[in-house]
Amino acid sequence: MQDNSKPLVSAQGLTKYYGDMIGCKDVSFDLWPGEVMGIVGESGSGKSTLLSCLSGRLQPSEGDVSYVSREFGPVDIHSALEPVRRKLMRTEWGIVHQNPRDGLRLGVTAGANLGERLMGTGARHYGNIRSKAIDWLGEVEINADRIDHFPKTFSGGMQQRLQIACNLVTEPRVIFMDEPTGGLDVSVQARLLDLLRNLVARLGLSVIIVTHDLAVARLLAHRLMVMKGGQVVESGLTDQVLDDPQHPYTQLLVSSILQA
Amino acid sequence: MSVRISVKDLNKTFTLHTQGGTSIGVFSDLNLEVKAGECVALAGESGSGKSSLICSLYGNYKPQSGSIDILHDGETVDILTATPREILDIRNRTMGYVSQFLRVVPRVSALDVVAEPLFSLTGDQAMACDRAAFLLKRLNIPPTLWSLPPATFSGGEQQRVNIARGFSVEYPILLLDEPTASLDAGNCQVVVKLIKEAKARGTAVVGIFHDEEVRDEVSDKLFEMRSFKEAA
Repeated sequence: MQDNSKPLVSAQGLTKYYGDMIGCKDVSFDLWPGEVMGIVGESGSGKSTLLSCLSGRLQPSEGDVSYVSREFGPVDIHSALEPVRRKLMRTEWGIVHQNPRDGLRLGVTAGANLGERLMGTGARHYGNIRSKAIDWLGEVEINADRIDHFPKTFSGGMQQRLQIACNLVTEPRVIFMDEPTGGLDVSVQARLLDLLRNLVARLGLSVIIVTHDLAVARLLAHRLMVMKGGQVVESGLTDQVLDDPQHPYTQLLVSSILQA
Repeated sequence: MSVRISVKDLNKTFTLHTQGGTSIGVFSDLNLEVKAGECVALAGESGSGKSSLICSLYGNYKPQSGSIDILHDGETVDILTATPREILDIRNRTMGYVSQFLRVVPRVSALDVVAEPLFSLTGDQAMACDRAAFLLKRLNIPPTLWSLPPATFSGGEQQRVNIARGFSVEYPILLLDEPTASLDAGNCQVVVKLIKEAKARGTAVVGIFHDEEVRDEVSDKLFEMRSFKEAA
């Protein structure tokens, strides 16, 4: 069992400059086991930059990210050795990209996409890998008879579900999601959200989810950080931030939603 | 009996930055105490801040100053200074809330909507579903509807699903925002019974009841909002 009395991910003063442009500035927070944190804000507010810094894919200019690993204990992500970071990314972390084609290999089958991540953790037995792959396809509501098909023959929603399954096969503890429902039509989005909500609760995953869709944030996130111009302008409990926003920018964001 | 909710010098103002910084006072220097087994009914006309007070108690609104001490696990926690994590823990285990409207999630059945709070508290799916079925039955939701998402239900049916959800866990504190607003007389009586049973278990209840009959039956005290509104 994981230790629930300590934060799993802890960010201190994360800052990223692109030249003299601010990507994100002085972001600090703790993410606890089982907690889902949403990062909201308009395009260009630094959400994706922050996510990349958090997930170790981008070196911040200042600040650090620490993570309590199942295998390695406490790890400072940006000063960790490359093999450690790579191992974490393949096992304990998952990254769900907005565009599933960034997270999948389109030239190999769905089963191979799932199997590749398992083999990265040392699995070698073909039968085990295949049965695990079938299990996970079922979890994300993809019919097992699609296992030998190429992801490029899948719809956008199916590709996104496959990408999520690929992340979950190694039983990660933290998932980073960048607009996971962006570009999907609403019925597909509803199904995906329902699936994510259930998986996150059942597996006790910690999630950092970047989205510009406040309805998605309300449904999935326990708490929110609102970003503007690279800085966090407001943070708190999701329903409090959305129902009683304090910062002028958050008020503008909330009041700009169209009622369907 | 022990004090479950203690509100001291609470101030709530809305500052509307998108409307040129207009400031709207909701209440000021509000003090309220609710003991175990007691039901306090908030009174006052529409716009007097009743719902805002309930939302503040639940951590949904953010008051500007004062304190809201909640008895949680034998210790008092101030909602104004608690972290999101602490507030969620209080909501999971100590404080339930029945809002005026059900927030429906696509694809989730009525039974699961009702079972969810107890399931997330205990992890026991079968027990949570049994309890949900028991409550839905008591609130006269026909079993044929249980497996359907409540989005298509009538207003009264949605509200009854919402009430069932609020009573799924036997919380030490219960906040009720017009729980009987769109219910017929028979179902009103069921809700009255549920509230009385909760009080008998020692639940501290804060409620808004527009139906005076219901209010007189369940509440021990009336809490008049007007004076706090005028001061704001």
